[in-house]
Amino acid sequence: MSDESEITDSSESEQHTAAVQGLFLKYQPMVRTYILSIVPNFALAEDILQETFLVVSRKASSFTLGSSFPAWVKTIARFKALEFARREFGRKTVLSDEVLDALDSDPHPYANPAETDERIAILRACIDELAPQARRAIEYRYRGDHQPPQIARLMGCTVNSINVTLSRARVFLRNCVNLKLALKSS
Amino acid sequence: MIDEDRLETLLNAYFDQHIGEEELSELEAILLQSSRARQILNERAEQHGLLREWALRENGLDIASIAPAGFRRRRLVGWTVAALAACVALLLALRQHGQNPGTGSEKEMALDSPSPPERIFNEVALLAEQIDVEWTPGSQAFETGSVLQKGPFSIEKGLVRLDFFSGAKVYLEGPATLELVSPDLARLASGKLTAQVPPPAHGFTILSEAMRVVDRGTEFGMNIEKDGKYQIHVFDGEVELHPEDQQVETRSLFGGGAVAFLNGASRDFPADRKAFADPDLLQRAAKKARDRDWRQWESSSEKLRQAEGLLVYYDFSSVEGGSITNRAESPPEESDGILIGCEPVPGRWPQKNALGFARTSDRLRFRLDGQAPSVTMFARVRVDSLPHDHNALLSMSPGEIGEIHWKLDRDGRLLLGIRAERELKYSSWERLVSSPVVAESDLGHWITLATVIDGELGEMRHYVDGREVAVAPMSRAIPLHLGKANVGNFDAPENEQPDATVTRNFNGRFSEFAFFNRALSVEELSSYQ
Repeated sequence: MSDESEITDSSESEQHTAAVQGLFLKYQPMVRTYILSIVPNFALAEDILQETFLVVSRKASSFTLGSSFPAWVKTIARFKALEFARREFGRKTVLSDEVLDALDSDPHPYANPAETDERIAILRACIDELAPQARRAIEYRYRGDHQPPQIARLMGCTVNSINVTLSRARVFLRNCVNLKLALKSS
Repeated sequence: MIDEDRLETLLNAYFDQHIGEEELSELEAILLQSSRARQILNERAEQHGLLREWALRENGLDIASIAPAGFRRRRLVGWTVAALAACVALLLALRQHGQNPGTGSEKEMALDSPSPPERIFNEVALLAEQIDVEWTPGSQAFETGSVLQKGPFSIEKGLVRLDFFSGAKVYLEGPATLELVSPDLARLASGKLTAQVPPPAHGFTILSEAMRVVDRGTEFGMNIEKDGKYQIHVFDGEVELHPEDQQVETRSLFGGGAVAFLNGASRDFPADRKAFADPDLLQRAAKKARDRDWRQWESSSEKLRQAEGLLVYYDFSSVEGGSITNRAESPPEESDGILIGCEPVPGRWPQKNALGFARTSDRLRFRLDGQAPSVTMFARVRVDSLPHDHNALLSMSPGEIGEIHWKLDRDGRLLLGIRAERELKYSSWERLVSSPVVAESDLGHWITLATVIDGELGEMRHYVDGREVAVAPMSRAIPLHLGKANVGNFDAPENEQPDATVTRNFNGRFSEFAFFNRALSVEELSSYQ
């Protein structure tokens, strides 16, 4: 085999890897969401996401372009998430394999990645409509990565009332987002 | 049937990470038994993920990139690869797109790419000076030093100088409306202007409804009054007058001459320099304003010097002998700064120098001792460029718990990092990231940056020019370590040095730097503006 064809081969494999990495970037919000469904901790989820990317890059050659990328990347993400969760927390805070299997076999509602920006724009508009206290709680929870006991301390409320505030804020946001989506499609 | 209320309670506990072992078993049982429950979990997971995605974008997306150097190398290699992958994928998409119509996904990738900076082609002139300006209601107001894009520029009162990129200088007196069309073309709708046109800008043209005035190397004035009367005065050189009315001939007008038009009739008379604003007026006014600002600064600087809790205050008024005097009223011992490189450069006023940072080795070093629950960092800087991922303002106590990183990223976000643990992992740091506060158009302008770490309230806050731009709670109390410090550069912790090949020097000027061992209020910070 001549040097030239070797060069071509290697550049083809590089192109393939780049294409697979491109898919990862495109699906990144979905992958993060999936990881968060197994490990709801944000900082840990970021680490898992990065590890998943490394594995995806390493194993890119085993992925056939044209087959389902979400299905493939989820297998890797789930493996990494469980590895991390077991190491950091032990088994008890993670859903059992049986439950995860059942969840994976159900259709996921994940949005088309092309719609992520639009969905976030709608979500942002709804967050703007939240009552000030609810908005602060959501900001502390998601932007500041705080859990209810810390938020309670920061806002001078009881933990219970923060749990209620967060729960109500989520209900409000769901209704608001659904309404805006319905208005948009009608 | 499942108890959906109970399921929601369990799911909230699950996603907020306070679910107990028994509750988790209960949740698992519900999920195994009901596909509806699983559907709800998947929907809630999506909401949780989307909220986090929103938060990451609000926080500036790549929140992970403010990890310190050693950490970054190990952890963030993925992101570097990811960025690379994005470029490669984009190239592939573009190439394939060129060969055939391309699939939807390839198109999306191409559309995701940043568009070329069209803005720059729209930039026409610089607002060089202004006095007593009142902006026309409904029109945009600009700061001195702003770059003006094509479009209308309207003032109600006052005098401005616009430096067109062709080299022409236009003095506009309010009330006036000028439409900026290109670097060598503007349309005067109403009001009075004086144009100074040096040789490189010959051909500079002012349009109006009835007349095109083409400069042939000169200084001229033009006035359009409300009743439709036009006057053109040539103070020096020559202009060509091209009436829009084809019946009227094109003519030249020379230095000392003036012509007035009303309803098609024209009348020649001698040019009157005094009928137009005196360009020196602006210079004198600018000097006066500078002197006033200088005196204000002197008094606020004196106040700052005496502020409670001030440990370090460098104003760089003297940089002789490579040492910078700590001008705090009661400075800690041996807290003068030592320069490594850096050059004295012109500052905000002719009366006082600033310190220039340009080379990768440039830095100002000082040392403090002890710990503090709260600190405030304050710097008046001129950012000239943001060439690095991290452009250091201050770094202190490398490797220690309570280490502080204060910097701007490539996109002009203000970043704070506080080390809570020695370990090399993401969660070892408390972070605060603002949205971009130094835009491209802010480069070369003086701004005041301040960051407060408030241990008592458990909050971190960023300020720009006395305005709060970011705030976030701290998830843990960290005593801040006062130690070896670098202004305009950083030290990698010793154990992380093999990895730390990253350059993070600041590019620009420091006019002042202050460090307090307490949290300053926004009122106090804005009083030092």
